[in-house]
Amino acid sequence: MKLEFLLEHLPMMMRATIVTIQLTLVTLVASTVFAIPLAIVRMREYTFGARMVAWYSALMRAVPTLVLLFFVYYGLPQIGVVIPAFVTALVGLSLSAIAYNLEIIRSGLMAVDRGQIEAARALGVPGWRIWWNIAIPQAVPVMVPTYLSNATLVLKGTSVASIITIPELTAVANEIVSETYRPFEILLGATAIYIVLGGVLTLAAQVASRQWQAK
Amino acid sequence: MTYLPKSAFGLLLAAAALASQPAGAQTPPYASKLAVSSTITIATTGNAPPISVAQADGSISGFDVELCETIASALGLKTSLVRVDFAATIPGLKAGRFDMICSATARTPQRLSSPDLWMTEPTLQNFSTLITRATDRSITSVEVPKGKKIGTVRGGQEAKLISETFGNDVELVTYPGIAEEILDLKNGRIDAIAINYITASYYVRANPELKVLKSGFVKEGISPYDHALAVSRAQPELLEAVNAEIAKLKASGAIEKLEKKWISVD
Repeated sequence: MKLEFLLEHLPMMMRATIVTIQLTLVTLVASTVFAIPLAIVRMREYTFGARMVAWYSALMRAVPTLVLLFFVYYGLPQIGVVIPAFVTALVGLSLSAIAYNLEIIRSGLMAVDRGQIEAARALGVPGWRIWWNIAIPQAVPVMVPTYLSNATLVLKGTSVASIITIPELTAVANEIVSETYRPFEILLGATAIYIVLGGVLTLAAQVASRQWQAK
Repeated sequence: MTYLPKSAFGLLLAAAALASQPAGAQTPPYASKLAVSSTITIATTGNAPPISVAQADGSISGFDVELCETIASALGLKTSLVRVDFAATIPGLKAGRFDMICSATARTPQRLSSPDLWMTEPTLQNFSTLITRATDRSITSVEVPKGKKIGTVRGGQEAKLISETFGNDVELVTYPGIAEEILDLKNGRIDAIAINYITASYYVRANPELKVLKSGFVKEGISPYDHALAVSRAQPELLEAVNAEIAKLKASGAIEKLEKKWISVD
């Protein structure tokens, strides 16, 4: 092993890491923002909206992100829709992350005892307080571990963006390998970076669940 | 890693090679070091037509592929084609996954002096040039105006050529393969593709909305250049055997015939 190959290319890999972090954060934020209302809609079973969301979630979880990105990036231009690479990656990654997140949020909300909510309603507690003081504090600790484990999947999933020309960590690592022919050192470096990023997410999960449980 | 385990491993390999050689048999020394015994495992992309081209039925063919098959059968070996992205060919060769690369590899000074592989004698002449949209009048020579986006294949030699020629004046966009960059050029996300002339001519014939620049890049050691096959660095004897076959095929006119069969440029 010759670490100088890795050290020499580290600045390049750090720039790519920033792209990976951007993709991960924007995908996580966008997918969560969209997933919350969709999860609530999905909970009202037997309505048209709930059925649509259920279909969406089943469909998006079934399609590999790779196929989705390829379709949006190389397929849609055939019918005249040309979206820039970074936007394509965000849309593609978010579409599938929304599907997972909405199921996670829904299962968290379902874990809250219905009786409590009905009792609160009977006592005349306002709707927003039912959410804020009863449902959310109980739902969040349930969903945080799954949500964060899904977040690490989102982080790793950003590597798929390499096929649509985005210079994220996996793409750049492969590029360096193809120039230096040193897969061992370079990929070890990339792995270490992914582990650190994943570690940050896990840490965030622990802090967040402790915070919510303290309430 | 230190040299000790490496040389010890080499000794082991040599010992294994000796041990596996039946007394009196005419087994060439490279045979025991092949990735799969009595088979030459070949990496190719199928994505550099007409040198390496994937057919409609999924099989791979092309100038380099047919050349390699001819050489293998002359050496009494079976061929096993493995389709990989270009960027994976040389690392895979180095890792001992393949014995040879038959995929329009350029015989660059950098690769010739690389301690990771052997380049064979030249097989084809070629040069790097650009493909643009036929309607695009802003690029008429390889002196590309500032701010243009140029596509290259990850791991190919053109990325280096473009960044050395233009620096930050143009934006380099990297793709897994040629088919993807052709699509994106047609889609308008990039303005040109840096590519070899033979493959460019092939694509432009099938895509009248594209054009190829007939006078390409001239840069010492990069373009014009020769194509060659690449052989595992652990197999100097295989390199010799392949080179001997290439010389024979050149002398007999077989290479010229292959060139006529596969390659047509304007």
